[in-house]
Amino acid sequence: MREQALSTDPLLQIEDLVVQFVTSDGIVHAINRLHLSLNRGETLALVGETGAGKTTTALAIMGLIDSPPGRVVQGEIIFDGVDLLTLTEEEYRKYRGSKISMIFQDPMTALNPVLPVADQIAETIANHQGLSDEHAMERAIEMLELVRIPADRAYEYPHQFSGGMKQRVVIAIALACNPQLLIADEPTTALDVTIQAQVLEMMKELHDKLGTSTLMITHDLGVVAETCDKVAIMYAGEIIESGTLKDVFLNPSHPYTVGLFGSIPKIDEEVEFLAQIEGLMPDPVDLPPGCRFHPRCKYAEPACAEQAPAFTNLPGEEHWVRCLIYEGKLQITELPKGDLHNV
Amino acid sequence: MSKYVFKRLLHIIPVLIGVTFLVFALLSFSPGDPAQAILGVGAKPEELAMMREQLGLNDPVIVQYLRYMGGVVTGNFGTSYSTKQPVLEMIRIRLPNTLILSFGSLLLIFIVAIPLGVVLAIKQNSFFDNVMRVVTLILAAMPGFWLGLMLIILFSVKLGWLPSNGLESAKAAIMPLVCLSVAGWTTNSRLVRASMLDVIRQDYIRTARAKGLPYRRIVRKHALKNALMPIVTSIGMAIGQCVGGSVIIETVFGINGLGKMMVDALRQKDIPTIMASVIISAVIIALANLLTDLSYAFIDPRIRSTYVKPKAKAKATAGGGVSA
Amino acid sequence: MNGPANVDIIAHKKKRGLWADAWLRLSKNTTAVIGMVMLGVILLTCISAPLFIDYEDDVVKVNIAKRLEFPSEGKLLGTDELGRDVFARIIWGGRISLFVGITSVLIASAIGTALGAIAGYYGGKTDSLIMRSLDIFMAIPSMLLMITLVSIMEPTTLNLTLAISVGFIPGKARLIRAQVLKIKDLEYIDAVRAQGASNWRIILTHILPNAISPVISSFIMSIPGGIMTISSLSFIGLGVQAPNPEWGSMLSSGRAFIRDCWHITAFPGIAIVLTVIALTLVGDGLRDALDPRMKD
Repeated sequence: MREQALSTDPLLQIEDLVVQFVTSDGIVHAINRLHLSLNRGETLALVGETGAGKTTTALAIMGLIDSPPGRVVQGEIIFDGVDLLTLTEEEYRKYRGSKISMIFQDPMTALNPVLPVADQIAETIANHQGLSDEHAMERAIEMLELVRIPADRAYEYPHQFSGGMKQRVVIAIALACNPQLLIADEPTTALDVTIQAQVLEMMKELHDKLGTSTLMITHDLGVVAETCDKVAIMYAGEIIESGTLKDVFLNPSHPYTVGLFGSIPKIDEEVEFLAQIEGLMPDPVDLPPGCRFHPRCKYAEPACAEQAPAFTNLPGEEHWVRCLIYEGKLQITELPKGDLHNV
Repeated sequence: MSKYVFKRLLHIIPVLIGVTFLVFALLSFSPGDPAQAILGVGAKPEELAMMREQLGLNDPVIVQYLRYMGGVVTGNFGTSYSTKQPVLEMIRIRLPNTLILSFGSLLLIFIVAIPLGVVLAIKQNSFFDNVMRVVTLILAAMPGFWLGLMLIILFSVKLGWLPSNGLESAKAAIMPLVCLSVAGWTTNSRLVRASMLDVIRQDYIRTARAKGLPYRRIVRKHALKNALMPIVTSIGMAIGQCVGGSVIIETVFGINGLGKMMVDALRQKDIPTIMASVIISAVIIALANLLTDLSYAFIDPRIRSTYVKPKAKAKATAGGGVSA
Repeated sequence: MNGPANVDIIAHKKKRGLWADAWLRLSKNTTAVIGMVMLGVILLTCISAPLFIDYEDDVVKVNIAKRLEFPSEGKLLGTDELGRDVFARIIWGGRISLFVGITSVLIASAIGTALGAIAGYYGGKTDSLIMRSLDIFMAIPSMLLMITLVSIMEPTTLNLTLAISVGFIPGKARLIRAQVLKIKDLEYIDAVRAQGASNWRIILTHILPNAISPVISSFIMSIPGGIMTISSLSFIGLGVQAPNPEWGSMLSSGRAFIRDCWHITAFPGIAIVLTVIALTLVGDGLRDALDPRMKD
């Protein structure tokens, strides 16, 4: 299943997206000319540190960015041929939950405490597919069984379920109307490691069964390796490297990517200090000029502060990177090295 | 569940005892001689002494108290020192008026404050919201009795539309009900607004939006249902305030109700009537609290679980009241 | 970090920073500033009243010849049914109302804080005992409790103040208790205790300063309640006695003349409304300024 892309044009294509938030501290440049592309049936990982703008990207796709103070300044989000940014709120609602679904990070608070879980699933089915309450409920119970929650617990309330089970309910809600795209925002971060494995296993199973394309937002490279076909690395509101899992993991090219992979402690190596990328994610109100990463980059040269890097294609299927090194504009002789052979 | 209700009803008894004993004891320190009050000014010393003996005033406080409560339990609330009527009869005449005022205003508060609060939350920071903020501020600053007097000036004196006294007609009930309800409108509409705004920020509302549900449905089924808890608390408390507030309103509008009865009784040190009023109010409030707690269980399934599962959760904190 | 002294310094530094921060936020809040100005004017007028109003002449002396006059020159707000200057009486009455309102809440806050802190900190039986006793007081509607208390004592201003403060004690105690419960479980309290601080020291220097913020705004917000209570009591004749002016009793005595001389009832009420509005604005502003979380 992972190898077959069903049709040639991408399911989701984001072009040149710019999203800002107007706050009393200044304008927050959350997303800066983002380019992203997801093919049908694929699972794309969106990786980055906290504050990179991953959730904002997801919310932008869903059309859930609150309009004051946020605003989409420019760009296109083309989903199945339609530019979502041109939709009215009414039209957008028809997409949410039925063609594009999103699941959020914290399952403990994602469910309405006063409604039984089956109701919360049935609700979205009844809303989008116009089924009667009974039929919607039948379908809801089917979905519960799909995520391995027994039918006799269908009328229980969220607080009666564990964290892992709650997240499964959330997944059931998201997939109830068989969406073409599932956006998962750190779906396992709030869970115990053992439960994490279970939930990921289940998501893979569902992906195989239903063929849903998935945008998996995470900062956990282990999760990426487990579940994803392609990877996009995000930094300060833009994608700086993107490609297939193999390409990015075996040939990480951007200095930031190299730094990320290098910061994973190796189980069979003894080191004195944990490797880290120096410095902090830049303040989105006050982004550095030129390449956003240059203040933290050990390969940076003066040119990096002046020019924003363009897209450079690298050898490999769809591997590209945004860095002046690969445009040949810098003086360095040795390319950043690092890989995840041992992960 | 019914076990819980029964337990709570039993709980009322010690509180009632505490309250009544407290008031009884306080009143026993009150200056003035009930025998004097009953027999009038010209009574002779021997008559006073005999009356005091008859009333049992020479016994220790606790004996008097027990004697009184014994009577209450059998339905005998004694005879008023001032009106010489059986207190129970006095209550029977006046109860309907007070009930109309109290429950009428409770209903009015509910009907106005909740929808208003929801609208204010949805239209947060709009012109309407800001105007209402000022209006609420001013209305809340008005004492009920002053508002009553001003309304009387406007509607009775200047315009002659509404009667200013008594509760004979529906028209007569308008101003008193409004005066009693205004405080409830101001506090509760702001409370509903705040509670809704709080709920709207919650994650499950975000989930509901991500499901593509229509706005109205989100407000009704997801937001409002969760916002109800503090509102129920507040309405529960409003019952207590209505009981107290009716005292003032009855005075302003010359309505013959329990509140007025109590105030007159206090002025005249008419102990049996005072005690009866206290018991009635305490019972009403205790029942209101019980109803409030039961409503919590009705609304919030999390609380329901602590009651319905008897074994492990028998020590639920519910018995002590849900703290706000 | 070695020794309780250091922990104290950190706790104090935190406190000072919080106040300065709060003051800054308060002064930026326009409605709060308006409220503070209003309150300032009211307080100043009432406190300095003896300088320009003579109690005997203006407030109390009966002058039948000039009774029931509408506002005119010399008599800003007219005269009442006994010919006394309404304006002078309102200001003098304000002294009493404000005194009773503020002092009663002050006393209640002090007692309530002590009770609540003890109940919250020691927990267990102490907690149950204190809270149950307070529950009994809370079971009586406050108006009835007030009336009962007041009717058994001499209606002096002091007695009235004490009676009214009783009504506020349970609320304040509950508030502090809730705060103490929250703070008691924070880890830094364990740290201080582990360094040998005594219970009293912990309560006084660590828990209370952190618990105090909601109490301050609750204090200001309760004063209107105190003022309303004394006015209500005076209205039904159980509060401040004649000839002393009080806003509520002025309303009550003006009632008989409501048909033609509405000014006697209108103006004292307006005084109440303005005072309460001022206090509410300041109280709201304080609450927002002291609460570090973002609002709305």
